[in-house]
Amino acid sequence: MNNKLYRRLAVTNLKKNASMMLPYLITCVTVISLYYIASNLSADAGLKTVPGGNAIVDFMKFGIRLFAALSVLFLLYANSYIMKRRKKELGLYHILGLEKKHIRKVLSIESAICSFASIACGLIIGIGCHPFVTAGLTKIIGTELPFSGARSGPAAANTIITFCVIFLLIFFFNMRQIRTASAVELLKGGRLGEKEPKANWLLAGLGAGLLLCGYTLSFFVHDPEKDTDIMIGAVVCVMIATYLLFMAVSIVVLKLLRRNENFYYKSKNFTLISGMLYRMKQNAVGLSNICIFSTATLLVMTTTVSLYFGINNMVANQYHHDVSITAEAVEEDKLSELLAFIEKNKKQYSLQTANILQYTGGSFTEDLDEDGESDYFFLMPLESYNKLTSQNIGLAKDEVLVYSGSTNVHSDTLSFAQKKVRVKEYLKQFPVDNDFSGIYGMKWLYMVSQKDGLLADQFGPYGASGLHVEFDLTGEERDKSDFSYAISKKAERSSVEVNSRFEFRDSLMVLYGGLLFLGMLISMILLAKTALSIFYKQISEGFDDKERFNILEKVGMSSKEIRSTIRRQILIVFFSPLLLALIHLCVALPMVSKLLKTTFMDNWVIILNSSAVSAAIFVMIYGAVFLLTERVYRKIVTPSKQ
Amino acid sequence: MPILEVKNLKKIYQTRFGGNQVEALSNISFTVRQGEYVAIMGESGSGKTTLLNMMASLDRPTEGTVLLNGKSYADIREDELSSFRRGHLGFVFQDFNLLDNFNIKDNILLPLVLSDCSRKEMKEKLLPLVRKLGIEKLLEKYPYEVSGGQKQRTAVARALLTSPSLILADEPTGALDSRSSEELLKLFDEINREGQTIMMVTHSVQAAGCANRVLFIKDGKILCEVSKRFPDEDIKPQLFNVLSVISAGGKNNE
Repeated sequence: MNNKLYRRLAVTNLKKNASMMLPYLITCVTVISLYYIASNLSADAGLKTVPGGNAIVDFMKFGIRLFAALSVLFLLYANSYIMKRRKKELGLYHILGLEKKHIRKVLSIESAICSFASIACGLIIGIGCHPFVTAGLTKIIGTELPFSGARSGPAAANTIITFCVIFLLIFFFNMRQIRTASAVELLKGGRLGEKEPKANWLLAGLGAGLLLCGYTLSFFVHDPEKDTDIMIGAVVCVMIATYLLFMAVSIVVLKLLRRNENFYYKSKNFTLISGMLYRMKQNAVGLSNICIFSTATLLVMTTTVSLYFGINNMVANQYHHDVSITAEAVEEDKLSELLAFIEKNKKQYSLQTANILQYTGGSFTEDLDEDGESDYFFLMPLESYNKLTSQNIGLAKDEVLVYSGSTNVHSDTLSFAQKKVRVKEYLKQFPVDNDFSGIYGMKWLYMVSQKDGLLADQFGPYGASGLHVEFDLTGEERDKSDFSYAISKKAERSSVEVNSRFEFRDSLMVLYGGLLFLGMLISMILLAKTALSIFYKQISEGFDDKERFNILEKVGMSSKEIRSTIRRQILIVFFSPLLLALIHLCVALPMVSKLLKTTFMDNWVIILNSSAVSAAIFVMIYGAVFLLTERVYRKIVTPSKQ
Repeated sequence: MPILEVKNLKKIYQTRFGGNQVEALSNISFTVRQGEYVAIMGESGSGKTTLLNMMASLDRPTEGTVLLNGKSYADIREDELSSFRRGHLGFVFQDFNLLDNFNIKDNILLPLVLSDCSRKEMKEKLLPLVRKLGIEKLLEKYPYEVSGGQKQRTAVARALLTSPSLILADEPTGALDSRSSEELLKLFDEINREGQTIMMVTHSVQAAGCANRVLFIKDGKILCEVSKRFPDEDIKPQLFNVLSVISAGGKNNE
């Protein structure tokens, strides 16, 4: 009987607070379904059999941990807003004679209902969406995925357990709030007269300085692998600056505006500025969080989209020919065998070979300038060079020809440990252009020397004579890809190494497709949570503002003026973090592009387009949240006519 | 010439889903002349706040008209109503209705700022007024830093700043201690002597006793009125009499 009462009370409470709870519950459901999808993918046995599929599994494993951590953070945050609003209602129950343990009971029934409903809905949606998600993933990575099955028990169990723990955590948090609050406090619900915020010039100056410092630092990142300290420094500076900007700079600016009497004492600025002063004091931290999360979302979107759409760019930057084959000099017969195979079978794939380049040589590292830094160079025997260029150049034993791809100037004598060689000529061009290092922007020295010259002793007669064959294929893309795979397959068991653009592209598709997929999931979650927190922030402010606008109406502010003040206030609160996030993004773009260059992605247009598209999508969704929030807010704040 | 004319005012509240109708005011008529100081007395629930809201144009009557300076509220467009209110009426509330995020000065200036007056006009009007009210030292303070009496004087200053035709006061002494109440009433007396028309709703005999004329209202109707025959007449005994008769009548009705 008694239990029935509690249940009824809990259900009525939920119904009454529906408009407050719904966004929270929708976010819960979204997060749970995404979590389920990610954990299902990470547990998928079929995915591991795809080449590069392990990377996706790892991404997803990382993803689910991130989701769980973000969920705890944001759901607690949103929940604290709801609790703050409900304190008055709970205080009323308390006064009416419900003991705290009764309230606890009602709350526990409520959260049990909510948790069960959101986990169930989340799982159903997750399971329902799973086929579409795998279809999408297949399309993104361009490889047919042999998924073992749409439903996965362990993933569902994992989801249920994780979110039960998270909801329990939130529940205990609420319990603690009730335990520590007295009845009067509960009734008041945290409405106390607030002091006017003080303008802290020092912090404001520090914030502006740090922002400038962070922005400047980001331009000093040249090599992301070496300059990690600078990069982290820039990020930390900008993050701290963001907090200071919202906490101190905003207040200083508003106070300056207020001091300008001709500006301040205008009907359209008067209430706005004084209202914003208090807004900023209460919400600086929340707005900074929103700004930082928006920036993070935008950066994740930009990088993952750029990487995915930059795959062709990366392939072109790393492979100058469709197929390149490398073999040790001792494996010459294996290489000839493979070349014969290619020659024999290319007709079958209706393909032609073109731009065939055959040479010998090997790559080495040595401190040639004796400046303490290693130089990378490719050593080619004179014989091979003469053949490639159809020349007949002669070299003395201690003479070399050098082609430098970089602008670095080297002296006329180069040293190899104890030995010195003379550079006979710096070549203007070189027939071979390849990247052997896997480091973007690394320029090689190409060196030509006599086979029995001084260097032969150093690197051995065979060391410098690895066999290289490169060629392009002409014909249908599909056939080219198939043929490339056939060649690799043929060479599989020998030590002859075959690299092709097509295999490389496919592996990148899996890698960056998986990353893009994860990026989309993360962006969705971050976006949902950013929207959620800003929605709750604005709504809870609405309840505080209600009183203010009520008074303003009595004193003679028309409802039209009130509406326009509200709109401008929400616009500022909503879009100041977004604006700052967009500025952060723009400033970070050069750094992002340098980061992307480590993966040989150097197409500015793609990066710019990706960031523009990401920003556009983000702004659109954010704008939709703005409109929804404004509507709910206005409903709360506008004094209702009796 | 009457400043305020209330004619056959009627207000019916409807509960949200049709159902019950509550008649808050039924057929109220009276006039207030220039320079008068009128109090409306009644118990809670008698309809006096509804009446005040009607006179303040915050609420529209079901029937009847309210005319201020001969102009009917019904003829004023909704979007002009607030500027009309700002220009012609001054409000003093029981709970002050000061905004916590404005200092005293800005709270007082609020109506002028909303009307987009020039800075020069604001300064010219503000200084003499706050000096008169004795709050010139508090201008930079915030409402939560000053006493209840000082808050109410701020509210009075805000109401007087636009030189309104009529001051409407809703239980102005309701939240004040007896000394502050006395000071406030003295202040009302003073501004009334300078020609300011005041209309006050109260259930305090102390406060009503300062008015020239007291209207008694019960169950949405005006029962009777008591007027001073000469300026300094003490009408409190009379007021007590009327009140006891009314409450006795109430008992007889039960």
